[in-house]
Amino acid sequence: MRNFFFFIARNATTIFFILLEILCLVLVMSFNDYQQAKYVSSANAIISSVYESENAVTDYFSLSSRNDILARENNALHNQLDILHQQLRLLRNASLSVNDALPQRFLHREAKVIKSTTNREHNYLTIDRGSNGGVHEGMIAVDYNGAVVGLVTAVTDNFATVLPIINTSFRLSSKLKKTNFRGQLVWDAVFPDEAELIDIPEHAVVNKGDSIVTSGSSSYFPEGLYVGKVKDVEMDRNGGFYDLTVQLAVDFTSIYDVYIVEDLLLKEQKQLEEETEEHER
Amino acid sequence: MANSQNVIRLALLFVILLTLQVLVFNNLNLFGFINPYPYILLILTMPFGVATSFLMIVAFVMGFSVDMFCNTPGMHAGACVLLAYVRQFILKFISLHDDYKIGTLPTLYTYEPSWYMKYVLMAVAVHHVTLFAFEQIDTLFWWPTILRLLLSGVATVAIIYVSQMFIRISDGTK
Repeated sequence: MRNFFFFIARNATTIFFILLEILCLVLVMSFNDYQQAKYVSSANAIISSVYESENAVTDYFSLSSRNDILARENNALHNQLDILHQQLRLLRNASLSVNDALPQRFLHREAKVIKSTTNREHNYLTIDRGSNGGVHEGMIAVDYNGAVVGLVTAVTDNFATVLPIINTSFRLSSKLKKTNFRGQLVWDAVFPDEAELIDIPEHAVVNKGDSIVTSGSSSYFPEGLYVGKVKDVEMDRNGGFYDLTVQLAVDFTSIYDVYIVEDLLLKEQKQLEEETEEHER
Repeated sequence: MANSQNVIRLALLFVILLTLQVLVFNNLNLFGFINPYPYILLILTMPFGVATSFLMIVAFVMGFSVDMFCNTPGMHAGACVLLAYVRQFILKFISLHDDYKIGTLPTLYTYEPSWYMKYVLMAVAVHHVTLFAFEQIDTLFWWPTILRLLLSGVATVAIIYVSQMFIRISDGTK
């Protein structure tokens, strides 16, 4: 026993070192778990406010390019509006009731990206809108083109964290737009503008440049959101499946604004699905 | 007197290095993927003969603070604590003279520049390899990761070395 205490006293520094490293390892491990991504820290108040004040300064440098983006988006919306006006006139002429139209399903809320990383395995975006601004966990983020950015995983009063496609914890059920073959979109932590689409069976016809959209089989992402284009077609090493390289539509290295999309009818849909399942039992 | 000076210098260096790391270097993204981490200068400039336990506590707090801003809990802290523990062995390994003068600071001006270069190179190697092992264990031995590791290391060494040429961290002895 006495020897044991001597041993501790003599190696106190090394033992302290080992204990500290174990503490760090526990922190790392708990973080790597997908579920624990909720505790990501940059959504917490102090750190977010530091990034927000930094953003207040650096915002100006990107103004001109963001103006271009907004002008293009405005233009596209104007065109869409014209088309819709025309269709509305046609409908009126056909004496159909406008009230037959479907209710609004998706509500967009704009948010600014105040912090983002692209050079890690686990990248995150922090946005300046939280539960006070109507953002909740499980909502999705898209860019100005409507392309998928990621999923809201943590929310505080005024900030939220988005888990983007370029995080190795992220899985997105996607499909080829033309042929409807489904696969999983995963990121391999190499380039911030490329991801892999796996599990597409080998009898599917795939060409370079084919569009990839969300499949709708995930409970968060509605069907048909744009993800990217096929950049490279390869077979999986084990055979049977493709291993497609996807050029992502979103440029994560220069992302300033996102739209957070709320599915207004999600509750209703979930309720119906649950009731149906109960009936089946 | 000298002690309170040391504490103030440590606190100032801590705040300055953390601010620079979080607001400047983490956003540099040289060529899109190089991220230097010159904040480890805090651990490097602690005086010769500082108690390793104390150094490890400082390193842990510094690493953890950077972690909080990078969303990487434990990774920077782990790499910093290891560097703090290994620092005594690095110093022993590269020692030119019989003994270091306890209480003075290891800087570019302490001995020859080549001594300081060796010191920084070895320290950055320890810190960066550990950090990358924590951060990208799945892809650690893949060329994009290795390239990123090497280039980030070179950038860190260059920034630390150049910063020492412009700003002398005074230890009051000169």
